[in-house]
Amino acid sequence: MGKVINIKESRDFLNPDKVYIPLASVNSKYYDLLVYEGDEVKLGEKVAERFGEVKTPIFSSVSGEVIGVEELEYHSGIVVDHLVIKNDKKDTIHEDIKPIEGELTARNIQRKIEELGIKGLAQRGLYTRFEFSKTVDHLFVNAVYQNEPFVKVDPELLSSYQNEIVEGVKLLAKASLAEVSVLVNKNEDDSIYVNEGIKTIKVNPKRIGVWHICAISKAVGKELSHDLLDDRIMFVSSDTARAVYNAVTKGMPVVETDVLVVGDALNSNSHYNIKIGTHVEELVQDLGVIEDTEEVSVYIGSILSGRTMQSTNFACTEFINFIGVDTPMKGEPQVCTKCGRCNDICPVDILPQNVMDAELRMLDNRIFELDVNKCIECGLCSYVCPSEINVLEWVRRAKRRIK
Amino acid sequence: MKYLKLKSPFKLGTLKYKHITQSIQLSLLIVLIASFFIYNRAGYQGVNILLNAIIAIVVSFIVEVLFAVTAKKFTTIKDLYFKENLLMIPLLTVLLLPLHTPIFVIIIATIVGVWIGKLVFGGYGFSIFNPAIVGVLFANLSFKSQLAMPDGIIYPLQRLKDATANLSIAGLNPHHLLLVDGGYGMAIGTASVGLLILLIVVLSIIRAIDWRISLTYLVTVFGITFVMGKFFFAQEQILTGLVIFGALFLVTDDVTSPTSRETKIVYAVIVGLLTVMIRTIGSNLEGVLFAVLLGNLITPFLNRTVKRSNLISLAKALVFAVIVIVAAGAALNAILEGRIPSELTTIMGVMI
Repeated sequence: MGKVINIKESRDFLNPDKVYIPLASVNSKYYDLLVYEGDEVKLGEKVAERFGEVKTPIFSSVSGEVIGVEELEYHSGIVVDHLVIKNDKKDTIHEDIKPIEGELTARNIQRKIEELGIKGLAQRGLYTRFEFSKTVDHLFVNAVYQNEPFVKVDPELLSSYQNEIVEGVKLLAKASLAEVSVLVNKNEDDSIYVNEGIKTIKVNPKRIGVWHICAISKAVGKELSHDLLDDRIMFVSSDTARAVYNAVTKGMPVVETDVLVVGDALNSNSHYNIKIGTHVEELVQDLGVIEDTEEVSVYIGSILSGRTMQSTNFACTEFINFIGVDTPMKGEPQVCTKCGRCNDICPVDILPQNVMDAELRMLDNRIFELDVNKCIECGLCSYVCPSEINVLEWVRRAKRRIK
Repeated sequence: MKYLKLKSPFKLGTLKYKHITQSIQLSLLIVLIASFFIYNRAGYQGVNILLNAIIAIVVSFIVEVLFAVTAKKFTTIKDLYFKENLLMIPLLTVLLLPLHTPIFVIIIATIVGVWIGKLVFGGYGFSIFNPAIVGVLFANLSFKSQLAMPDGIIYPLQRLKDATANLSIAGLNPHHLLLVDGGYGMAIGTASVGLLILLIVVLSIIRAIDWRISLTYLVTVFGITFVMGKFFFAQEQILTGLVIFGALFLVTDDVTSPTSRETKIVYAVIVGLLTVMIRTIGSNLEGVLFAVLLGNLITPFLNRTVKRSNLISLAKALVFAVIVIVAAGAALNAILEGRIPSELTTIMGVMI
C-alpha cells in the first residue's frame, strides 16, 4: 500500500458566485423547467422536474437570479443541461420548507423522502438505490469514510455531523422497517451509535476495497449477488442518513454536501462544505495547482474504481464526494507472469487472470463458465497486479462479450 | 495544463514486477556466491563455479541479443535485463549442474534453455516449461558420461538411492546437511540447505514467491516419505538433493505454475508425488527436475479445471492433498516392502 493521505483541513465554500444545477440524470435527459430566465428563486425552491421512471424534483441550492441554461459534463460522463443561478448570498429560505407535520410514522417519513427526491447519495460502487417499493430485510449504513485506507480524514472534522448521522440512522430504521447496522472503522470510537442502541459492525479498512463486501456478506450469511437489492439488502452511505435527518426534521432538500478534493497535483488537500452545483474549477483554484504541472488527470468517486472527467469543468453534485486531481502515473504494462495475485484478492471469488486468458483467446464458453457476471468492478485486480496490467479492463471486455 | 483521460484504478500497489524478478535473481546470486565459499573451504576448485556462471551469463546474453536483433525487437540492454530477466536462466542452469561440468556442456545447456526453453515461446512470461530445467535435462540426457561422477567419489545421493530401495536410511548427518554440503555434489546450488530454507522464508515474507506452493510441496514430500518409512527416512529425503532448492526456485516459478490457490495446491502435491515416485521406484537418481517438468506439462490443464476460487474449491484441494499424501505413502511402502503380489508387479511392469 502506498502513501496514505491524511486530511486535517476543512474549508467552507458556501457562497459561490454561481451554481450549476444539473437538470438531467443518467437515466433521462428530459426535464420540465419551472422557472424562467430572470426569475428570483429562493433556497430550497423547486426549480425543475426531471423525468425518468419517476419524476424527481430539483431544488435550488442558493437564493438568487436565474441566468440561463448551460451545457456541462455530468458525473456520468455525458454532457447535460445545467441551470445557472446567480447567488445573491442572502440564503433566503423558501416558505414551503417545513418539517413533517404530525406523527413520525414509516409512511410519513417515506413520503417526505420521496417528495424531496433523496435517492441515495453515493455515486457508484456497491451502494444501492434508495427506494421503499421493494421489501428490504437488512439496511447497512456505511460510516467508514470514502477511499479508506488511501485517504484518511481527521474524525474531528466530521464530528459536527455525527449527531445528524445518528438521528438519520434512527429515522431510516423507522422508515425502512428493516434491521439496521452501521459499518464503522475498527480503530474508531463507535460509542455514539452503541449508546443509541444502534447495531455496529466493525470493519478493517486495511483490507483494501473489500471490507464492506466481506462485512455485509458475513452479516447476512450468504454470497452477495450483483445488485444488493436482489438480496433484500439496502446499502447506503452516511450522507444519506444525514440527508434524511435534514429532510424529516427541517424539511430541507439536499442543498449542501461535503466533498474531498485530493491529489498530488494540488498545493494542499482539503475537506469542503459546499453548495450543490459549485463549479469544481473554483475549488481547484481555491486550493491551487502546483506550478509547472503539465498533465493532470481528474477523477471522481473512488480511487480504485472511479471515473475520469474530461476536465475540471463540471459542477459538484450530491452524488460526488471525492474529487482527485493527480499527475498521471508513469509506467507501462509488463508481460503477465501468471502469478495469480488478482485471483487471490478478488472479493467475489472469481478468477480475473483466467478470465483475461480466456478473453485473449476469445473462448466464450470458458468466460461464461467462469461466472464473469459476478464481477463488481472494484478494481482490486488492477491494483495488485505487479505487471501493471489493467486486468479490470479485460474482465469488462469479457463481460461485454458474453452479454 | 493538459487533461488526460485515464482508466481506473488511479493508484497501484507497491509490489512491482521488477521487485519480484530482481529479488529472485539476487537470491540466485547469493546462493551462487555461498556455494563458491563452501566448495572452496571443502577443498574443491570453487573458482570453477564463478567461471561457469560468467560464461553462462555471457552466452545467454549473446543468444538473447542475436534473437532480438533477428526478430527486430531489440530495444536497449536495460530492457533486456529488466524485462527478459537475463540472469535467471544462466544462473539456474549453473546451479543445477555439478561442479565438474565441462564448459561446453554449460554453453550448450544455456543455449538450449534460453533459446528452445524461452525465446521460441515468445520470451519471459510465455514459456510452458521452466527454461532452465529444459536446458539442464537436455545436458543430463545428452552428456551422461561427461556429467558422471569422477572415479572414487560416491555422492551421498547414490548411497541414499541404494538405501531407499530397501526403505532404510543412508545415515547422513542432518546438521551437516543443513549447513554445509546438502549431501549432494550433483548440483552446485544445493551446497547449503540452511541458506535455501532461510531464502524461502525471506522471499515468502517479501511476497516474491508464493509460500503456498513451497509449503505444500515440502509438506507433500515429507508427508509421503513419512508414511512410507517414519521420521528419519522423511528427514533424509527432504534434506537431500534438489527438494529444498526446487521448493525455492523451481516449483514456485510464477510463469509455469498455475494461477489460483486451489490449482497451486494441487500442482504442488502432484509435483511432490512425482518427486517421491521417481526417487523411490524410478530409475533416476534425482526426481525433482523431471517432476517439475511433468508438473509444468499439466499446468494448462489444471488452470482449466477451476471455475471459482471460493472456500468449497479450497476445501476440495486440501482434501485431495491429504488423500494423495496418505494413499501414495501407503502404496509406495507396500511396493517397496514387496507386499504386492509379484504377479501383479510383473504384469504392471513396476520396476522392482
